Amino acid sequence: MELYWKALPVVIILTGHIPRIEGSVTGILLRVFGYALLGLNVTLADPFADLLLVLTIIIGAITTTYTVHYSRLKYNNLNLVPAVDLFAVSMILVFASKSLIELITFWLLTELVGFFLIAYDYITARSGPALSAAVKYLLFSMIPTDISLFIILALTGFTEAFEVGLKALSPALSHPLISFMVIMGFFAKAAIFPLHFWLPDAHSVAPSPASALLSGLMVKMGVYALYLMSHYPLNVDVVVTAMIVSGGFTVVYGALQAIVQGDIKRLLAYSTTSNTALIVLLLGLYMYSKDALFLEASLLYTLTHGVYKASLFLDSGFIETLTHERNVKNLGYIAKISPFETTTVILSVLVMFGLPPSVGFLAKVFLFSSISKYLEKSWIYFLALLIASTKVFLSVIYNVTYLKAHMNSGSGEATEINAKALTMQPYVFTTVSVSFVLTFVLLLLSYSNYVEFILLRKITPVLLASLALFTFILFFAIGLLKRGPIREER
Amino acid sequence: MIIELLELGLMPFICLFVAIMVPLLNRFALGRRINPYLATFCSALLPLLALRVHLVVHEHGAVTYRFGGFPPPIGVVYIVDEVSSTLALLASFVLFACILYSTWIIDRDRLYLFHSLAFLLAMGVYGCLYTGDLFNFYVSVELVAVASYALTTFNSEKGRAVKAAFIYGVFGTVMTSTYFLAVLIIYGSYGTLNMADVRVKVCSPHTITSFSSGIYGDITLTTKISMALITWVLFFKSGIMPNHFWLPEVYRYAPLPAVVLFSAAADMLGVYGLIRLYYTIFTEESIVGGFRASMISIMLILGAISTVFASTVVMRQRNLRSLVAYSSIVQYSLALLGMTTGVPEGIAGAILHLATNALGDMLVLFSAGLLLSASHIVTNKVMRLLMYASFITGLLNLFGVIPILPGFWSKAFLTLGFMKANIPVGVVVVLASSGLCALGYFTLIMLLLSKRPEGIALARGQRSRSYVPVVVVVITQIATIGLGLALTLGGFRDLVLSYGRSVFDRSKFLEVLP
Repeated sequence: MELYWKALPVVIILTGHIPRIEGSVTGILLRVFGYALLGLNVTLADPFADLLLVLTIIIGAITTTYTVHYSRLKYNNLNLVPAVDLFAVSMILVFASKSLIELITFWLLTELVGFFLIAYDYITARSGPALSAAVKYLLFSMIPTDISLFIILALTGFTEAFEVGLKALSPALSHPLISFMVIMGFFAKAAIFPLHFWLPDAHSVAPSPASALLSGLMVKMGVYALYLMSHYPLNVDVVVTAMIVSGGFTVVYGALQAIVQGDIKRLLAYSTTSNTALIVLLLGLYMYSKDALFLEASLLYTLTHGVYKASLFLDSGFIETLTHERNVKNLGYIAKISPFETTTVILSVLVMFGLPPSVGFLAKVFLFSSISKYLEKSWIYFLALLIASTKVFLSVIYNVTYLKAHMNSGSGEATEINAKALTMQPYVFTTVSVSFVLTFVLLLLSYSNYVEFILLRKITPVLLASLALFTFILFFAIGLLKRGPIREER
Repeated sequence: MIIELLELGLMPFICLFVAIMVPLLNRFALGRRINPYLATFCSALLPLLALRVHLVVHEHGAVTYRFGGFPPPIGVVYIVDEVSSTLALLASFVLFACILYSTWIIDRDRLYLFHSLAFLLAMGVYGCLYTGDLFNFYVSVELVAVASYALTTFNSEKGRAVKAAFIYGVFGTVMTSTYFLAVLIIYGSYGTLNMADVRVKVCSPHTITSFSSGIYGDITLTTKISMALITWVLFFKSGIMPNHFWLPEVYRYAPLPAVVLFSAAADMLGVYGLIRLYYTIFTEESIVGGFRASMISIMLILGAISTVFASTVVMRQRNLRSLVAYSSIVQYSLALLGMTTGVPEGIAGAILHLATNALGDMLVLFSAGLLLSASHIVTNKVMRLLMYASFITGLLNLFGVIPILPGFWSKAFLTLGFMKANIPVGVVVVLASSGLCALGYFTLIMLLLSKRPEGIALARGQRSRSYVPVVVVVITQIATIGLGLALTLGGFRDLVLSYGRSVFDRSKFLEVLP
């Protein structure tokens, strides 16, 4: 029975790829429908996996539609679409896996497709940097993760890998060296120091929809694996130390690097390392304190970042096809061409900063509440608070740097504008709006006792009030926009 | 009482029969017509016989065949356990595929020569796999080697082919002579050449066995010398670094079906010989147990170095044949590593990995040969797609990624073996080498998708409309995916594991002695 919930949607998505209808509305609708059907795999047993699954489905569905336009504009064909879809679907199947063997199969498939996506510009246009980025990805992300997966498979035993559920396994990972090797493998996936350097290259050379999926979702696979590890008999000291130290360092390092980047995609890639490291830090604190509040914080932060990063990468794809330019120094006029897009991006950035009632607000609340709750218990939490706060203010700086691509007078001049790129705007907006819808979905789930977001109930009044305020501001902003584009006067 | 099976003696006899008859028949016009059919028919017969042997072995544990009816250790005896019969089944399948494929790709006038040599090689392979006698092993290795030298120079208009065969020939002869020396030393000390007999004496030196009585002199020293020499020779046979230098040149210049024969049937004999040597004859309980343990550690280190080095070379390859050559070195080194773990999972992994390598190389070479030929078949889009799919499947199998392919399971078994033997570094070596090789494989896939890679010569004899090569590729593809599915879904994994375990049960092997 379960097989059908996975096989049938995949068949529908495949049908949507028949060359005749791939680029048409029928094909798109078929694929989106297939993605929606994959939602039937939500088991209600594990909120972490389920919410990641739902996130991937939504972002996957939006990206597949976006890729049709992007692929046509950048490559003049639709060859990118099936690749991106295969990538998204295999990631969905990773999060929907029930057994270890399923997880490993789809994980390896995802990595394989990811390699070809990163090397896409090499395959189509012989771009040297694309090949070297793909090689770095293979050597420093794929191999370490494969080592971890195979170690877990070997220690679980082949029969259990087929039959036992993922969280019920107990591979004998207690030896410090084994624990360390396994954790390092997943650090490589999530791009945490010291195996983080492959990410900026890989995510900046891949085509933008692929980068959206890579940054928004694939690094979360590493986070998901670390979450699964927390259920297994590990050497907790080694693991927690590694997660807090490496995670903490990467948070600050990634943010600092993001500030000095000129290429918008590299900036976003470094921002991903920083944010993912923060999630890993939270997971580390969860394993240290055994308080589920940290787990909820990391989950909410994952959702926030997934949506944020996906929307910004989609935006970078928009900028790229619109202007054929990726450096902030040469940009700055996007707002003049498309104020709608700029507003969407500002909204996305504000969501990441914690604008209520978006899920970013929830993430920030949970982040600081969880850390503060334990502040007096140990200096580690104080350190974590320090790191989180530093990250927050650094992220303001690099997000503003990104926004300079949109609004920066006295910068670049628009040379050749490809107006067809404007068709991609609605998808970026849809992605951003997901972060608002998610909050209320989570609220509903929380009240129906599906998830234990108790803190959520306490802040419901704030959420409702902010929703009202936000709606009011939205209408006001729409009214403003209707009166014409923003004119910069200097 | 051990079962005696006629089919065991029949198999090398059929090979010899074909090898002799084919050149003889070639003198007659009628003979020339029937030669390919004779060769194909006999090569189809062999897998059936090998399967029968395998099934009987599976049921009874071991079978034997005494040549001339002479009891060992006076006579030469074939004794077959699960490991031997599995590898022989694999070799038979490979031979069948190669003979079929060769009818398409080799010049019609010289096809009989190729068939003769191929069957001689096969006879040597069966001899090595089935034999229970150390000297017979030498004879069989020599036969494989001589047939290989001749096959390498098959396209002798290329000077490089002769040079490759020359290097292979000279060093190969030195190596097999070294093995001969080692066998002589054992004969001098033990008074016998039979493997089971040697095993009995090395475990309890004062045993007196019928026909060969007792030992002579200090067997500890002589055994250590022989073991060391034989190990070095078998490293050469399987192309483990640093004895690998002959392999890439040979793979580059031999005809395509010959390369497949080498990589899938002949060169695995080194690893097989090492398994026999260290797990059946000179085991932990023998008087050289300590030395054996040191040798296994050395093999572990050398195997690991070989794997990593060869992987870095694979990483940079853009020529298909060189890639297959170095990739085979990597796979044999990995099989060697599996063998050094000392646990059944590791040995099961080693055997499965030899099978993975064989199937993978077959798919890659056969489909590439078709794709790059002038054949009219590949102008058909569906056929082209099928060949690309087979090529990619072969490379993915060698990489070992998806559980549907046997390559994943052989890597999984190797990993399991290393974890059980408490050598986590081994896991890193296995997977790091996979990743490094993957780079070479993916580069080749991308090259194939964008333009034609170098390395496959278009032979004069290629027939444009024959569907035979397509059939061969499809059969191999079905075999690969079938094996993979059987491993993923069925109890095949337990079966493979039982083969690994059977190596540790030597009682069946010893029953052959009177």
